[in-house]
Amino acid sequence: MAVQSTSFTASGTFSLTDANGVVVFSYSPAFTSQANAASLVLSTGEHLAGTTASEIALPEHNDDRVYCFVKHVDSDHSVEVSPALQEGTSKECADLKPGEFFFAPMELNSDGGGASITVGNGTSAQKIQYLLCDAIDN
Amino acid sequence: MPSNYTFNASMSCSATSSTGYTQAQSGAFSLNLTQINQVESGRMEIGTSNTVVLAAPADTGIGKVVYMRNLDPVNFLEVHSVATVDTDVIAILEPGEWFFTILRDTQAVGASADTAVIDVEYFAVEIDTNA
Repeated sequence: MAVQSTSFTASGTFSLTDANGVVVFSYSPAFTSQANAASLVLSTGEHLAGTTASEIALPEHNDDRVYCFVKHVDSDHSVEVSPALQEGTSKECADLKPGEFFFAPMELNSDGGGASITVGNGTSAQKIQYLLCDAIDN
Repeated sequence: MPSNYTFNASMSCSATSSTGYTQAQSGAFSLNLTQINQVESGRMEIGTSNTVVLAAPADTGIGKVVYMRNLDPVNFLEVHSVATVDTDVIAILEPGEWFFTILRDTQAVGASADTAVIDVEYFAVEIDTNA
């Protein structure tokens, strides 16, 4: 039986500088996951997040844990990222304005009410880009 | 203490299968923060019950940027909004993994370790309505 083994790499740089030019903090984290022999899906794409939340994760993604990167690539209103059909509630994982991104190893069914990742905007449709990859269960 | 800041963020990520198929994404942005009151940064211990990482933003605060990296070599932890264990989970971090998010709400952010106390590296910075 064939298996699809995947691995995931993430690196970033985050810094905060005060009004006097003093660097308050700077972090440059990175990791590469172990190979995940139980992985079923690695998916990426561009998606129009409508005024009603819509799903970006395929049903085959691992409900227990998925590496999730979402970037707002439109120019108007913020987009909410949620682990299920919860747009507009306190359960969102991110609230992104144009140009901003979010990254997390997510549990898709953390609210107990669904097993997907949704994106939505209450005002007008906005474009996002995403990369999702099954992670090893916690 | 200064209350105006510039926050810079950039990251890249890629996923690869054993066939060599690879997909990658990246991003970068800056936020100008004005009259904010909470800047938390450093390392802390996360217990098995809820540990508040950032209290609910007040005054001009309307949200926060949050980063956390699991420094433990063995165990995982959960990060959650509303500071309630097993509720509104934002991220589940295995050893060495990290997450970054922006939340535009007035909820606290908390974390809880699954098995034993875990050390994490983190920052949590309040953002204002214009950011």
